[in-house]
Amino acid sequence: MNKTNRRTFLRKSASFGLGVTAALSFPNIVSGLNKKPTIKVVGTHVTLQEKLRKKAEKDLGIIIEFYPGGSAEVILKATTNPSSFDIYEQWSNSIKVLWQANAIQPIETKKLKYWSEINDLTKKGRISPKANIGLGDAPYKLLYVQDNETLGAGATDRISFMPYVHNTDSFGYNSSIIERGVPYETESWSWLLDTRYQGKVALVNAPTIGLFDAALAAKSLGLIDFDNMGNMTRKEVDELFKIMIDFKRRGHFRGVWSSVPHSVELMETGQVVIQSMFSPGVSALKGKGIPCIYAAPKEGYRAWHGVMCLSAKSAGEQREAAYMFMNWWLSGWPGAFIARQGYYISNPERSRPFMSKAEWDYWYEGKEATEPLKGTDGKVSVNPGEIRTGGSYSKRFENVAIWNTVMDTYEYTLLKWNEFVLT
Amino acid sequence: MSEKEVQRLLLLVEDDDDHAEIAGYYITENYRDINLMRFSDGDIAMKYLEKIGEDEDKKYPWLIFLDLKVPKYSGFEILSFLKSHRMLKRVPVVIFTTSSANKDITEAFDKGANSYISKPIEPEGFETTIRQIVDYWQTNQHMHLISSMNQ
Amino acid sequence: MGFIASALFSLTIILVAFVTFNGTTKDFIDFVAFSKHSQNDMAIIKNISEIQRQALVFTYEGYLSAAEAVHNIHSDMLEQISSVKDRDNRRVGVIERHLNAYFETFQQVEKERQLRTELVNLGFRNAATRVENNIVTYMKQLPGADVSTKKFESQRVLNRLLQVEKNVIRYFDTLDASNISIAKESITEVKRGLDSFLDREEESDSVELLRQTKHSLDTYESIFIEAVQRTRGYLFLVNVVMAAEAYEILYNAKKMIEESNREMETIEDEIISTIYNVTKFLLVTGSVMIILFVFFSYNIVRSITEPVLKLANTFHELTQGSKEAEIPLYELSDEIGSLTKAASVFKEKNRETEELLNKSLMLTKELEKNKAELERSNDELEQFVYTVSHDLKSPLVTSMGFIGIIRKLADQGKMNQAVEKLDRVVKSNERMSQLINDLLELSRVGRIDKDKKPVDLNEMLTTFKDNQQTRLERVGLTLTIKPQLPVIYANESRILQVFENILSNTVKYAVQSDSPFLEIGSKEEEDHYLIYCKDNGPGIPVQYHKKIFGLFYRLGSKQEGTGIGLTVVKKVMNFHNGEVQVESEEGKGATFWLKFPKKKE
Repeated sequence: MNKTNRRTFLRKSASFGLGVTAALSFPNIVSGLNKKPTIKVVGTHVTLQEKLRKKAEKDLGIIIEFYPGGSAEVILKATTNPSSFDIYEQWSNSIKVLWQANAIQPIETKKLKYWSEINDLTKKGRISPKANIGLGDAPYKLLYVQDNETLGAGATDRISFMPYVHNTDSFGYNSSIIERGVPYETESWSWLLDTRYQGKVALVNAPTIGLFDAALAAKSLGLIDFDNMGNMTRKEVDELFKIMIDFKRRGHFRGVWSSVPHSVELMETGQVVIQSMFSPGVSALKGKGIPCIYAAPKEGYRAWHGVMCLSAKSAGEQREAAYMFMNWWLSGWPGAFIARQGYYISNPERSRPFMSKAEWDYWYEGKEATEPLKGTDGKVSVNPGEIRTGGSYSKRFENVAIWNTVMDTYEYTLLKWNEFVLT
Repeated sequence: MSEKEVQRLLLLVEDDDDHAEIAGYYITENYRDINLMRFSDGDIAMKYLEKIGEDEDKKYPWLIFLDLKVPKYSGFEILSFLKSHRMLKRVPVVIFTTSSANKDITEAFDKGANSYISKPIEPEGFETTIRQIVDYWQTNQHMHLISSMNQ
Repeated sequence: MGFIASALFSLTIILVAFVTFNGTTKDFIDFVAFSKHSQNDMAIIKNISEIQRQALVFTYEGYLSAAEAVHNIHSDMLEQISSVKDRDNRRVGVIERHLNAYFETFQQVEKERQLRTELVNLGFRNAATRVENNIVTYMKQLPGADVSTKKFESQRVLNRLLQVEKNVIRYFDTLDASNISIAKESITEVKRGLDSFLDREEESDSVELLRQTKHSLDTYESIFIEAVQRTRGYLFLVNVVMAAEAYEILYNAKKMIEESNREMETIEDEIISTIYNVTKFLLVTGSVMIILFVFFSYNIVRSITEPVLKLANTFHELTQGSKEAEIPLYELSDEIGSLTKAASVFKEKNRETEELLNKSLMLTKELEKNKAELERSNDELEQFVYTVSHDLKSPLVTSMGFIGIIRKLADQGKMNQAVEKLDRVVKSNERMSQLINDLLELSRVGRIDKDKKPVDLNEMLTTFKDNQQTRLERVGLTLTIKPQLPVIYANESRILQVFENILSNTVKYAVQSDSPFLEIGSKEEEDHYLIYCKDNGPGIPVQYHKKIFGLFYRLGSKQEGTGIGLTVVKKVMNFHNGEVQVESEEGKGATFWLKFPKKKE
């Protein structure tokens, strides 16, 4: 985006009716060009990538400081010191916590340029009428700020977070060792507990994510049943952990991984053949020539939704700049960028022109790749003839089993998780 | 069952026509109920013996007189055949021959002959000898066995 | 020279043994080192379990002693790691890395927990007390009129506040997150309550008081939330992050132990095989050495005693009677020389003795041959007697038998029949007579008429054919004599007899063929003549080929003759040092081969 576009963009933003405050602050920004506004963004490495920051700075003409950190670190920082950031990027499972901690303020939908383009997945909970709403903290349940200052699904003009990146996760397996399965038919979460892979299985080291992987696996094998997997009771937690610890004791799990590079190393060195995985990990392994397949389990995916929140303490110039940043994210280029690591954006059509037809067909339509496709690291991660497991965007999100969730029994699961890891 | 079938069957294996005639005369003279069958060489004899039990009209004999020096099959060969046959070995075999050589006697009993009689050279001898032999075997109890075999 | 070689050998053995034992010692040292390493690794594992346990105790109970224990164990482990660093194992580096991450996290945990403790124990308490006090104060100075309702409402607010406190405490005890939401709701209600008071209140003091209360309440709330976050924060760190680091250390330590064990096993195997191999080597070389020693000493001795032994050996052989004994060469004319000469004489004597022995052996052999022949004749005689008595007896039996029948018939008065039977007696006696004659004839063969002279078969057989004309015509037999038959050295009449007997047989069976013929021809071979008599009669089955030459053997009892014909043929041929053989198959005629040796007698 060059300078002319930027001006047009700003003008267009103004003409969408951002409101009196916006009109008042714009001149401030434009006139104070020699002192660029600075926004501080706190989040994880997943979305706080240097390439994005540089492009945003260039496109918006503001200074953007990224403070990436580990998930726990980030949320602690945000909840205990909201004045230390303007924008908070994380996952939907931290929304409840942040809201409870009064660390964020509602975002006004009328100040979001592309609000109308955002699809129904986040607004209504379903990407299409026939999709099922997964268990747990489905984002639409936490999106709207209700009149009584709680979060709910009833539509209002104030939202707790701006929907942007999201994806469906499952597990990855090395298809040169494990026979390739049929998506939605034979591929199943139960594979994680298949004793044939004894000693070569790993889970992601996070009770709000890895635990659900294990729960889906155990349920699929018929070892346990839940009233509501999205909010397990203490008794159900005990039962589930009993199963998991039993497996661990028998040496079924190699261990847990705490970072994507760690997960890549585990499969690359052959220490695991199947494990929880995040999409960029799968791309990285394929770039290294390892035929890692991201399964499409018949029970459904574990979905997550990224959230971009506005600090409760952000105000004035910073806040306006923060809105600029938020709108930039949905302006098209960033959506195309993160599509190359397998993530979806809440308004895909706007990102479509920034992707080649081959890329769009592969990443969004679930069609066969007609040419080699590169990932965000510049390496080829998709070879011609490959099909994105699980199919198209809508197909995948029609099959969500559960969302990453912070349950009421969260603290209890932490204790049990420790027991599990150290068995 | 007619009267005729109750008759006892005696087989005579003898190549010398004269000897056969003499023996036949004395047997028929003295015993009404003996049915005499004579074979003039080993081949014909074997053909009959092999077919007993298969052919309706070939019955098991009650007694066999066997000369050693018969053409085609020798007497010893026929003797061996008889004594190794499952059913025929039950039929008494009397070796009736001119030879009185020790060698022959030994071989005959080795092969399981029931008795060994030298043909007599006295005028009265033939009849007496025939009668002695037949009477003796009449005393034996094997008649019922042969009858049952023939049913 | 041999001794030098042996000496070198021994040296080699000693060197090998030395080197091996050196190597083995080194292996032993390594082995011990590895087992020490295993011990260290096990200590690491033990420490990891202990350190995490203490960390958890500190986290949940807050005991400072536990935190101290963590620090102590950490420094212990650092020491252990540095002591095994020399092993140059990449796993050690990994463990160190994880341990550092672990400890860093723990320090964070300590900090957080500390903060939280402060918050809960101090901040929270204070804030709670302040709010409560404020409300109480407010309640106290509520004026008269609607005192009861206001008091009632304030009481309710106070109760609510206390409930909040209770929920908060409950959360920190049970860590049940539902308490947080309940607490928050209650706080919101309290706030609403205070707001309603504010709306109604006019008195500035009260308003101020209420405002302060609200402010304290906010502080109260934020402290509570911070405490909750920090709790969740460090819980996460301990249970998830630290646990993961601890597990990686555990995993790697275990792997190191496995590797050590494998190394130890390899070393063990190596040592055993080395010892085994060396032992084998020593045994082999030792034996070789001994053999060499023996060999050398033997050679030396031999060079001295050889001639003497040789000579002694020679005499020994000679005494045994050998005429081949080697007389060793000896040029010197000493005692050994004269002994050598004596040996030669001895040898000559031996030779003469052996020759005499051989002569006597030959004579003995001849004697034995004669004896055998005699025995054979005796056997033949026995056979002959047996056959004769047997076959002569038969007609006798017949005669006597019929005589018996005649007598019986006479007794019965059947005179005609009796006379008929007389014929039979006569016939039988005639036969007996014939047999006796034939026998006499047979015995004459080879005894009487023994002269042999050259016989021209062409002449003889032509004459023979002429004489047989009548007989031939009677049966329609064609007799063909092939030309150029040889001249054989034989007794003419006997030979004639042979051909007569053969012809008789052919004629006897000729009636069975359409155009019977007999062909006589010859074949010459190197040492003998073969005369053949071939007919197209019924043939003779193979099993009878030998039997037909037997005395009195007849193929069919009904045939004429006594069965002596071929027996005579055989005897005649034997007399001429020849043989007779038959070549025939049933239904394909018969050929008699007569083999006459060429005159070399």
